[in-house]
Amino acid sequence: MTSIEDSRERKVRVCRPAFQDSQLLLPRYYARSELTRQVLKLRWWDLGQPRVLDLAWSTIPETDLSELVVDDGFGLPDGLRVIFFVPSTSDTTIWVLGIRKAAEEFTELMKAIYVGRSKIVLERMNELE
Amino acid sequence: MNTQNLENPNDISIEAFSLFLNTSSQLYMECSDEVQAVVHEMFAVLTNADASPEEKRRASTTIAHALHPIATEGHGSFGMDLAQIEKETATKHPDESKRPVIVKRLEQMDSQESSFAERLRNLLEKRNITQQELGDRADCTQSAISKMLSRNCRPQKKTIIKLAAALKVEPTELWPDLEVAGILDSVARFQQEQELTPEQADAIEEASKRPPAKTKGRRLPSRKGK
Repeated sequence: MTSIEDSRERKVRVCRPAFQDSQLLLPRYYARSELTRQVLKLRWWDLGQPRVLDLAWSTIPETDLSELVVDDGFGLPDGLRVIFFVPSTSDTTIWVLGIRKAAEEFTELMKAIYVGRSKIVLERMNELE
Repeated sequence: MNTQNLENPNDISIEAFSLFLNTSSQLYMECSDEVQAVVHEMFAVLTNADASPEEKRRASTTIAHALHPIATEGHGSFGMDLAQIEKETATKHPDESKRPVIVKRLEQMDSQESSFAERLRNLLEKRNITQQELGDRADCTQSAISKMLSRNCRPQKKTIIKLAAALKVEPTELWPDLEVAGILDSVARFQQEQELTPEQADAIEEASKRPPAKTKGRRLPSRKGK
């Protein structure tokens, strides 16, 4: 069955520091490949819907950023959070800014780092689209 | 936590920032004002006495990202398309010896998803249940079910369990490798645990105090010709 939302496929782009986060947190390709398939679900997300297919997500307070909850994968360590954002100027691409462990404290500095990454994306995304 | 440096990113040590500019001034000057401001903020994280090593590492990679939009080989470029990366890793991984392993892994995931989709479709037909009904029963959206059937959504383990309960079958009827997945998860958890719990530490200390077992050993006969 194909619904209207099925026809809307977004691009999921990963900024380089997020790629480096994933290599550090998940040194084995096996786990990274699993995470990739989970994150690619963002392609089908109907923005604002309470779930990204079967994954939960939440907003990061005081920012335009959100977190995807990946904690039940095959061979993935418990409690991974994928930090992403959708630029207000273009919702055809979802940007992955970083990956962190849920157990890690999300400090103000950490928040500033991810907001900084999103600002770089906003400045340069037009070069890609 | 002291975030004073972040509130005033211009207050970072002049010496430290001058040293940085000596090596990267050209790259820095080529950035827009907004990106330069981000570099300042990240530098403030690096010089913040309260910042953890992990925060500093993330700030450093962000500075590198700001100054080097086109990265060196093996570290990816600016804004990589994730679907494309997945396809290309198998043929373009810098280490050629890893390419067959990657191909095998992607084939395994594709095969698991394809088999799952087929099993789910058969059960839906057999039970005469619509995607919407199944979604409602399994606390899942119809869209997620549709994507699973078209192999565009690799289900989470808990989703498989919920779907199996809704269809009144064993989870392994939907995903035969589920037990293997459980073992893999335990391995992943074990790898993640870097510190012993107090109980584990006590148990090890206790064991180390025990005298060695008093079993009598016997020298084994030497092999002929030795």
